[in-house]
Parts: sequence; structure tokens; C-alpha cells
Amino acid sequence: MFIFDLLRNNASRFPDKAAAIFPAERISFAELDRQSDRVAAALSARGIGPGDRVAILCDNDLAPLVFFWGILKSGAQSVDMPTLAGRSVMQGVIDEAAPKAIVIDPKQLAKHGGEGGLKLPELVLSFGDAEADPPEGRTVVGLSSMLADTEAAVPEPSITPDDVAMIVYTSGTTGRPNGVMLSHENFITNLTASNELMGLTDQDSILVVVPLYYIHGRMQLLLHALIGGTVVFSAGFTFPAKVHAELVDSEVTGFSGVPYHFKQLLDRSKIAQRPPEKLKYVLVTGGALSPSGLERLDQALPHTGIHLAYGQTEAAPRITWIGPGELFVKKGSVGRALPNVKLEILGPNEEPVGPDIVGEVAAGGPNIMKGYVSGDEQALGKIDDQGRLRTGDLGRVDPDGHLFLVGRSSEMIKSAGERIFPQEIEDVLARHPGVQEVAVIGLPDDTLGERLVAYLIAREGHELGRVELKQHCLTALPFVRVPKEFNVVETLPQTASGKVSRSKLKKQILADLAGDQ
Amino acid sequence: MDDIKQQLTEYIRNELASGKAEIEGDTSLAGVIDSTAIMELVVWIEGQCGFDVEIDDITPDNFGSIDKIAAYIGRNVKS
Repeated sequence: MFIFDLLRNNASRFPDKAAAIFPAERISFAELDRQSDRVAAALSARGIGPGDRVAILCDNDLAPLVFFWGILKSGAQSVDMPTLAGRSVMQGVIDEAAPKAIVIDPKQLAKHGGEGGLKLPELVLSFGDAEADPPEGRTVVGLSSMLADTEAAVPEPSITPDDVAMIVYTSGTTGRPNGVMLSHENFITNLTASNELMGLTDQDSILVVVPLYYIHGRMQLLLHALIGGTVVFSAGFTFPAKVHAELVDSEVTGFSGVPYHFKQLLDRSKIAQRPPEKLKYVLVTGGALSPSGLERLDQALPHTGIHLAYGQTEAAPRITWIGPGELFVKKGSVGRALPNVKLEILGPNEEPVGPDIVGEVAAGGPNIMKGYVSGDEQALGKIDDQGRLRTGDLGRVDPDGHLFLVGRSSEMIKSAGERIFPQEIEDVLARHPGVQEVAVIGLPDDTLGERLVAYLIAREGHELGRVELKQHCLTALPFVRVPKEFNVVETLPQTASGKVSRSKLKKQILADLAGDQ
Repeated sequence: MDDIKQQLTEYIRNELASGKAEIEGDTSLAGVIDSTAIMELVVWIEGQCGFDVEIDDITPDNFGSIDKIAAYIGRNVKS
């Protein structure tokens, strides 16, 4: 089975039902199927098919959704690019993945498509304003012209379920993102196993607040393609009170978010006073809510079941799941392994350890990625010689099979639901002429989960001002990745090899903070 | 009103967005600032203008552009 079969099945089972609803428009399964067939035909006519890649650099919108399904149907691989990334990161993705074409929304095209912008592939696909008014010197093939050509034949690509369908870029430890290659089988097996546990049906629907370029977004889209449910796209998470209204008005049965989303809805909307009546379940992913946060959520939404899932992009994405029946019995658990996932805790000798012993969380199964685009998955220690995914998370499994996470062995920072590796931010700050040395760490924050804090040593003769440093970062990074504090210091703790030690620095700062209280 | 608009513009350009970003009074702030930035903006408004911003007020109608925020402040600030 291929991912695009999910859409084709729905087009025959529920042709007139809404597949996706956006703030200003909606599309039925049959129409989404028809339009994406046209895109597949147009791509195929341009020589794009199995083995080729097509990048998508778009915010959530109907046209990129049509393109996405069209790319898969052509047999090519979609490459999701984060619109939130800085330009150098985006260029790195394009250079590495070498897509034959890119789907870019009019806003991104205006921002990056002109002179001095991104070096894009030859074939640029867009829609809306960009069709009539592309940046100077740029030829753009518009979605409407692809849809208008009803002659081109819909391809029947010669691929297997084991072939790569989608590439999703995630933050990498070195500041360079990793392109995670996921096959049709990776997704189909993970979606099927997830829904064996969740039991969603074609009566279910979901409000999506996260971008589709994150696996979290793609998962929600594909899970609803599996069940024949409607996906309602939020106008965005900038205004939690508006998201609350969307949950109520759209009458969706489901909502999935990271802990930051739930905390914002509880703190900055009246969701507890006016719980969305049709909301049957919420799914917390991307990190556990604190036990008190879960209880608050449960009190605010007394008729809504709380589910929790743990996973990584490299696992397409789910590894464990826990539902409302057990969540408050097994407090702190992120659930048991999905039916077809083998969960192991590895000790210092890389051998599986017994119950309740802490070690690195590893996972195996048909959902584990095919590899990174760079081919570095083993060199980076992400896939070991037994083919297991090494998550970099530390945890233990209790005698009942429940996984409890106790920390991360990597230095990833989670702030407002974003996964941030300090190196990316440090690289930007190190380019400032007045900065000699820099370390970025995450410190606990009630609202954000963790907040980014930078510690810097100034070059001799330079004074480093907060606004200047902040502006330096804002030109290269989105707001959420810009440190909240900049502290100029005389020295930074070092490792034995003379590198700045973030872990020593963090330990020192946390000890100082604890001493102040 | 022009005074608060100027302060707002300056604050957003210094603290929430790149100074190089083209932000006029009617520029939509969607895509320029995110939900974490709006939180900082709300704290700033409360500190500068001396009134509490109600949860229900944090909507695109009130916070969608500098002009809208300035109008919102104008309606709420104690004269």
C-alpha cells in the first residue's frame, strides 16, 4: 500500500466529504484527488517521477496540500522545508536534497526568490499572486495552469512501499538539519498501529495548529487520510483565544498539540470556562506536560480524553502511546510501545537492560526511517549496527512495559514546542564581530518550557549591547529561536579538550539560581 | 496616538522583529511575530500603558497590525 492510496480510497468512499477545511476555503476528497492527479500528471510530463525530489517551502494552505499529494502520486519524494528556518539553513537543505523542483508559496517566493535570495531549482512551482506576478527574472509554473491541462496522463509510478515517499528535515545537533527519509511503509505501518490504539473513525476530525513541514503536522494529515476524517486548519497559533474559538466553532472531535499549546490554551484562552463540546480527545505530543499541567487540562476538559504519544521524526514518528484509561494510573508514563515497535533500554555496554533500569531509549520496527539524506545516520549515532533508532533520550521501562523518560542525553532545547540545538544559535552569534566565545543553554521557564539564554565573551575593545545582539539574531533567526537573555561574562567553563562546556555552564547557572531562592 | 504608535513601532523593531523588516502601521503582523512574541508585547503594553490586557482581547482584530494595537491601546488607556 502507498500513502496516496489513502486519498484515493477516501475519494471513492466519501467523494463529497470535506478532506480539508482552511479559514477561507475547503476541498472535498474527490476534488483533492482530482486536482492532485493533475499535479502528478504535470510533474510526470516534466520528467519528474520515482527517485526525484520536490521540495515544499510553504505555510499551511490548500495549494501546497494539493501539490503534496500530487508529488507522492507522481512517485517522487516530497521534501518538507521549514519556513521558520534562516536562509542559510534553507539553502543547505536545497543543496543537500537537490530537488528537481520546488513548491514555494507567494510569500516565501517574494522573500527568497529575488536577487541575492535562495538558489532555487530550475522548476519553480507556485500559486496565487505568484502566478501572475513572479519576482523579476524568475519563471514560475502555476498550479492553475497544471489544473487546466486535463490531457496529461496520470502516472502509474513504478515504486514499491519500501521506497522513500517523504523527506522531513529536523534540527540537528551540529546546527545543520538532518533530512529524514521515510518510506510509504514507514508511514502506513505507524499510522495503522497508532490507530489500532486510538480507535478513530471517519466520524473524527481534527484542528491542526502546527505547520505541515513538521512530522507532527504531516502525521495529523495522514492519520485523517487513513480514517477518512476531515482536517481543519487553524489560522495559526499566534492567538490562543482564537484557537479556542476555532475548536468550538469547527466542532472537531480531536486536537493535537505540544505542551506549549496546551499551556497557552489554559492560560490565555477561556477553554476551561467554555470547553469545546464536540472535542472527544486531545493528544499531547512532543514532550510530556507536567503532572499538574495534565491535571489542569483534565479539569478544564472533563468530557475529553487525554492521550499522550512519544516519538521522533526518525520513527515516522510514533514509538509509544498512552490513553485516557491509564494516563492518571501510570503517572509520568509516556506509554507503551506501539504494537509493531520494539522498545529497548540500552545500558552502558549497549545491551538491553532489565525493568526500571535507566538507559538510552532505542526503537526498532517497520516505522524506522530509511536513513538521512546525507547518509550520516550511522556516523551520527542515530542508527546503530543492529538497525535500531537511538533516540538520545534517557528512560526506563517498568515491568508493565510503560516508558518513563528521565532526561535527554543530547543538548536539545525545547522552547515553545520548537526543538532547538544550541549550536545553530551559537553559530549565528559567533558571526557577530564583537563576540569571541559563546554558549547557549536552555533554562527552565514556566511558559516556554525552556528559554534560550546566551552567555558571551566579548572580543577585546568591543562592548556587546543587548539590543544589538538581539537584532543580530533577529536578522538570521525567527523570534522563537532568539535568546531571551544575553549575558556578557568574563569566562566560560571548558571541557578537557578546551571547548566551551554547555553542561558545566548549565549546572553552574542552575546551582546559582537555586542558591538565590 | 501617534506617540504610542511610534513607541510601539520602535519596540517591535528593536525587540520582536528584525529592524530590517518593513513594518508599516497597516502591515499585517502575522508571520512577523509569533505567539511567544505576542506574550512579550502584552507584557510591554501592560507596563507602558497601565492597564491589564484581557485574554479575550488578544485577537487578530486588536493585535493584527501596529494601527490596530494602537487603536486598542487608545480605547483602553485611562485618560
